[in-house]
Amino acid sequence: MMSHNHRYCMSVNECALRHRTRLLTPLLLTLGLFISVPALATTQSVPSTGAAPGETKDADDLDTRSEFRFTLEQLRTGQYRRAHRRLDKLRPTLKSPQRQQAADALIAYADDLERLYPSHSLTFKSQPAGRKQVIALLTGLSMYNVGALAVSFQWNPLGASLLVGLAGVGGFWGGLRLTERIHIPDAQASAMTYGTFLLGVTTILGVDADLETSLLYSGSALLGAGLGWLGANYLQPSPGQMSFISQVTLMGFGTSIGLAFAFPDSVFNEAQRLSMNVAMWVGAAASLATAKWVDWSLTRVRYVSLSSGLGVLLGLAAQTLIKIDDQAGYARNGTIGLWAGFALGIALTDTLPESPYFKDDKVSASLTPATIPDSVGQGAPGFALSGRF
Amino acid sequence: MPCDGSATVVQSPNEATLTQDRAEHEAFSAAARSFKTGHLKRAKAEFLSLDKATVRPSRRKAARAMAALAEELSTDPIASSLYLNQPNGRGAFVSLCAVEGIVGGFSLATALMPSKVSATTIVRSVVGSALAGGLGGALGAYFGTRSMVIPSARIASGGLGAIIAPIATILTLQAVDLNIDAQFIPLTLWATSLAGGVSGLVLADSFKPSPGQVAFTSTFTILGSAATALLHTVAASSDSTFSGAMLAGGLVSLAGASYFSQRIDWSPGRAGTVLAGGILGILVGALTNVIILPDDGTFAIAPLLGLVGGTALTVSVTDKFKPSEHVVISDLSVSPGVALASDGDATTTLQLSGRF
Repeated sequence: MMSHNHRYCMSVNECALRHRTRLLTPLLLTLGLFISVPALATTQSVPSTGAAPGETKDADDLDTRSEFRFTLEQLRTGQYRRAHRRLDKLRPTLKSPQRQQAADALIAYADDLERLYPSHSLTFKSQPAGRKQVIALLTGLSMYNVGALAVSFQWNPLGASLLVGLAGVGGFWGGLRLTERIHIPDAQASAMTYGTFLLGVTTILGVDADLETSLLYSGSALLGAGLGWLGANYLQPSPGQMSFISQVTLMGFGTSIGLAFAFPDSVFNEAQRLSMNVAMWVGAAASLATAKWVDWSLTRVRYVSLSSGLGVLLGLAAQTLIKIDDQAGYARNGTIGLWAGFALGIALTDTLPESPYFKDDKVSASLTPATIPDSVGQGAPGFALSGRF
Repeated sequence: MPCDGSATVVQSPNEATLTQDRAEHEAFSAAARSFKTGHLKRAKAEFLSLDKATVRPSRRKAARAMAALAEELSTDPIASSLYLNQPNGRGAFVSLCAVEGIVGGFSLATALMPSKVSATTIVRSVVGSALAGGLGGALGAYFGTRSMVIPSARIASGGLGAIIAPIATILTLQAVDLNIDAQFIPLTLWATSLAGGVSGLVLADSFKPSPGQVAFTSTFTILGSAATALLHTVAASSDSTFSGAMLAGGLVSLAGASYFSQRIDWSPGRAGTVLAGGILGILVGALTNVIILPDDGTFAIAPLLGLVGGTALTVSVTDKFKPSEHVVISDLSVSPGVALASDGDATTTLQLSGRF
C-alpha cells in the first residue's frame, strides 16, 4: 500500500529518491563522527591546555605540563602579567613539591621581568618570522609591477614576458635575502599582504580599468604593502589580531558582494562598486578599532573562519531547498549565514587558550561604589577607582 | 681605538647590565623552547648552565626549579616525545574533516541518485547532502577532539594521503583503461581519499615525522610529478603512456621523498620556499619559450631545466634557514671502520653515519 506522502511524488524514481534522502540525512550527520574516528582510534594525542567546561582535568599530570609550557611561552613573549595570573591559578592544583617550587619560582621571575621590562617590548619581536609571506608578496608584486609597466608602455610582448619571469626571480631572491637579514614578525608580514589587498582592491573598484590605470593599481598595491609594514610597526599586533582584521575586512567585502547580488540588474555598476568599497572599509575600520581587545590565537581565527565559511554554505543550501532560482534569496541567505557562522564560531571557541603574542598592556580599572571615611570618622558614600594602571 | 680601525662601542654600566640581562633572558627563553618541544635533557642542561651564569636571583631560582622539573619529566615518554609536543594540528584536522564530509555527502548523493528525476531535485539532494556531510564532519571532528592536541605533522600527513590517493586512483584507472560508471566516480574517489587520509594518519603515528619532514615529502612529490610530466612531454611520442608514467613518477617521488625525509631537518618554511623556487623555475622556463618559440615536445625542455635549476638553487640558498626544532638528526660523520669480507677477513674501510 502506498503511503500518504507518495501522492506528492512526481514519479516512482522521485519516491525512491525521497526515501533515500530521508535515510541519507541522518547517515551524513553521523558521517562526520566516522571521519574523525581515525584520530580517535590511534590516539597518540595529548590533552590540550583549554579543557572544555565540565571535562575532568587531571590537574597534576598532562594538563599541568601543558600549562607550564604555555606559561614559559608567555614569559618568552613578554606576557608577564598573564603568566603570573595563569601560574596563580595553577599553583593550588599542584601536588608534587617539585612542580610547586617551579610554579613559585616562575611567579617570582615573572614579577621580576615585569619590573625590568614593563613595556612588553619583546612580545612583537618574539613572533615567528613571516618569511614565506614576505617572499611570496615580493615575488608577486615584482611580477605584477613589471607586467603593469609593460602594459602601460606597450613593450614588446616577447621581451616583456621574459622580464616578468625575471622580475619574479628577482622578487623571490630579494625576499629571501631581506628575510635573512631582518626578522619580520608574522603579523607584520600579514599586515603587508593585507595593505596590498586593501589598497589594491580599493583602486580596482574605484577606477575604471584601461591601459593607463595598470600603473595606478601597481602603485596602490606597493603603497598598501608599505603602509602595512609601517602600521604593524606602530600598532604591533599579534598574528591572531592581524588575521582577525583580515577576516572582518573580507566579511565586509563579502557582505557587499551579497548585497550586490541581491540587485542582479545593477551588479558592478559605479554605485555598486562604491558600496563594495565602503563596506570593505567599514569592515576594516571596525576590525582595526576592536582588534585591541581581541586576544585570539591563530587557531581560533581559523575555526571562526571555517565556521563563517560553513555558515555561507548553509545559507546557500537552505535557499536551494526553499527556492532554487532566486538570486536575491541566495545573496540574502548567504550573507546571513556568513554572519551567523561568525557569531557561532566565536561562541564555540570561547574556551580556547589566548594568543601568546597578545600585548596585554592596556589599563584595566574599575569604578565601584564605596564608603569613603571623612575627617570626623564618619563614612560617606562615594566611588572607588581600583585596578592596574 | 683598535689599530684595525674598527670603532668600539662603549656602553655605560647600566646599558651593559641591561644587555647582559637581555642575553640571559634569551638563554632562558631558548631553554624554555627546548622544554616546550620535548627536548627535556637539553632543556635541563641549558637551565643548569643558566643557573651558574646568571646574576639575577629570581632567574637563578626559576632556572634551577625548571631544571629539576625537566629532570623529573624526562622519564615520561609523552613529555619527552618530540612528536607529541609538536604544534597542535587540531584546527587543520577539523578543516580536513569538513572538506571530506562535503565531498562525501556530494559523492553519496550522486551515487544514490535515481536516473529519472528533475534537475531541481538533483540539485537540492546533492547540495543538502554535501552540506550535511560538511557540518557533520566539522562538528564531529571539533567536538570529538575537543580536549586533544594532535601533532600537526600527523594531520599534514593525513591531508597528503587524502589528496594523493584519489589522484593515484584516477591515474590507475586511466592507465589500465578501466571505466567506472560516471555516477560512481565521485564515490570511488572519495572512498580512496578517505582511505588515503586514514593511511596518512596511521603512517605518521608509525614514523613520527616532524612537520618539516611531511612538508619536504609533499614538496618533492609535487616537484617529482611535475618533472615526470615535463619529461614525458619531451621524450614520449604517444599520449597513451602519460597516465602510467605519471603514476610511476608520482609514486617514485613519494617513496623517495618519504625515505629521505627521515634524514632531513628542514622546517616547513624551507620546504615551502623550495617548492616556490621550483614552480618559479618552471614559470621562467615557460616564459623563455615565448622568445625561443620551440616546436613539438621540445617546448617542455626549458620549463624542465627551470624546474631543476630553480629547485637546486633554492635548496642551496635556503641552507641557512633555521632547522626544525621538532627533530634531532646527528651531523654527518665519516670515520674509519672495519668491514668483514665474505671470507671472514677484516679490511679497513670508511663508514658514513649521521645526517645526509
